[in-house]
Amino acid sequence: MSSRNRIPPTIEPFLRLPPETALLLFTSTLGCSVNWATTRFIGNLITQTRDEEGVESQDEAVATAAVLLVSWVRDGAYWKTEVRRTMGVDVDKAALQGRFALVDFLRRPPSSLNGGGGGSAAGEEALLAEMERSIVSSLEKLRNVNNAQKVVLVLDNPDVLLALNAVSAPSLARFVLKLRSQVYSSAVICSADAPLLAAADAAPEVPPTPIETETAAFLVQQAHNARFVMSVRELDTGAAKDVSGVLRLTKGGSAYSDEDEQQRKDGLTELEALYVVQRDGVVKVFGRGSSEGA
Amino acid sequence: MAPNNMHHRRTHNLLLISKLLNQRDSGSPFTLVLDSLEQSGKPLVGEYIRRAKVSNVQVIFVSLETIKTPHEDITFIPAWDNTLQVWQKQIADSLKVHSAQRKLLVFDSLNSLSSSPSTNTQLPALLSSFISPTTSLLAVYHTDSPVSSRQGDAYSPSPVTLLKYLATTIITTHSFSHVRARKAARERSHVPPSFGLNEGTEGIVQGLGANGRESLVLEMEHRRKSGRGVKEWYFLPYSSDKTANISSKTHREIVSLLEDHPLYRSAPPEDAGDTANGGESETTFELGLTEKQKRDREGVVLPYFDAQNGGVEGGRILYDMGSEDDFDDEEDEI
Repeated sequence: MSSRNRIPPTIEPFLRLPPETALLLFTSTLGCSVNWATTRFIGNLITQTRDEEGVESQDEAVATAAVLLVSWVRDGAYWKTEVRRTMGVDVDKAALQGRFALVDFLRRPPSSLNGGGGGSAAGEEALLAEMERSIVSSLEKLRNVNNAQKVVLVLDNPDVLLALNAVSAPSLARFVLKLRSQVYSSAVICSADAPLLAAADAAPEVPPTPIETETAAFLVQQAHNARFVMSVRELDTGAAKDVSGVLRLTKGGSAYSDEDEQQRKDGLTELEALYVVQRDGVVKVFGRGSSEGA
Repeated sequence: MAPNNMHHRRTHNLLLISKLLNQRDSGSPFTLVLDSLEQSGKPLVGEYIRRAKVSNVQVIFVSLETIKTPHEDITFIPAWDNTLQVWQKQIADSLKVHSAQRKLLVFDSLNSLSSSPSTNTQLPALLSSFISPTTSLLAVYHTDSPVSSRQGDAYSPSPVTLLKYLATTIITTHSFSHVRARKAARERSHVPPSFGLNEGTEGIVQGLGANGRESLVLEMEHRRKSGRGVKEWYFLPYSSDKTANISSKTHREIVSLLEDHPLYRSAPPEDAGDTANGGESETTFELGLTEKQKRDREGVVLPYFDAQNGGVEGGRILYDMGSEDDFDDEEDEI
């Protein structure tokens, strides 16, 4: 139950186990990281399995879930500390129990990426195939421990591959689709800084560069397929001591595929609120104009 | 005059959208749905599929970004997992089955096809190859997803431009709350608000009010065979309660004109209607004229009436001497 208190109640319904084939999209900007929410999402899924005999047994989310985290820009040590700090969950222990696995492409980058095959169609093909192999093998390992558990795939900043000019947006989108079809549900974490989305503008002043086009195309497509989009950004009026940023939760293009009634019951409605990440890692979400403690 | 016109337009355009959505008389062989992050086209596609099933039209859903279809009893082709040749053949095969039956071919997104180098140039040809007298095509295109220019020819038009030329009906989807917000701003002569990506704020992907739960607004452009275009804005209520709709569907059209929606209808025309019909009875004073009053008013000769008839040159002074006026010859001579 202690883990429950670490998640602000307003956003708790969004961080539960998503329904089958659903996609959640987390976006952040350079000045505002969304990782406080993603670590809570991961920790929540791992702990919910532990509460199996607990109070929430009537909930579907209680069914055993595991997290397969694929990280491109952060290493295992980072995730370990962050998940422990924010949720008090030991990732190593969860990994031993077969409830958590990490594919660390930062520490062990795919060999095809080093080979300089980026850009060409053949290099792109080899890179994606190699990454898919290592992700699927981790998935098999999770399945071997407990085949009944629902595996949630979390992709941390796959858009870095676009920035590296290693793959094109349609191939990366197809790669994500292929992975999504093999797991229960998934989440994608992306950067949504203004330059990365500039190309999505209907009439850009300057013709966008290929990388701008690719990142925007990828992010927009993910948002079209997402059930919910959770995006954080800096406060319009600049930095503040008691506000870390603005949190916006909106319905993605695929919010229509599951039952409205279910969403309403779960309290999944769009919202915009301010949040503050305190020094001790506790996060508070509150409305504009209301006091921080609310 | 105006209400009659409006009535005519309403009847005509409601019949038209009903014909298009129900796929009657092959009204539109190629329907292009342009959607955005602010309003997804998925509920509209769902509406098409639902109606197709009611009228026994076979639905073939070609998926380029959907893993599992939310609709039952339809032919599902996961094209994203296959090469072009494979899924092209799959479509051709499923079109051959019961070739006399009417079919609806649905593409959930043309974006990946229009940006992939192998298909972008021949996309119009590829799509039109599927269209036949018994098969109509419904395709969704996300307008806010930019086309990768990596392998593209900078001088040829973008695939979506070509598709717009090809399409017999183009439906652009809008979020109802955004349409209302824009209208409210227009009525106050304010700058209409932007939403989502157009807000221009760093970190915003979608606007608040995007993908409304209950309804969406359709902006339709239909090209008739004669070439004349029909444009209209519609309001489509969306309900996940599929069974309830099917039974009521056969009797009543759920789509209405956007102007007829109570939350959208503008106030001024309503007021004008009030004064024309029941305005007189709402006051204790008689503001009208009797026949005699009218006749008398017409009979009044206005002062200087003869000056208005013309035929008089320049600044002539019209003055009738009164009895109290003292005529002075000397003054007049000066």
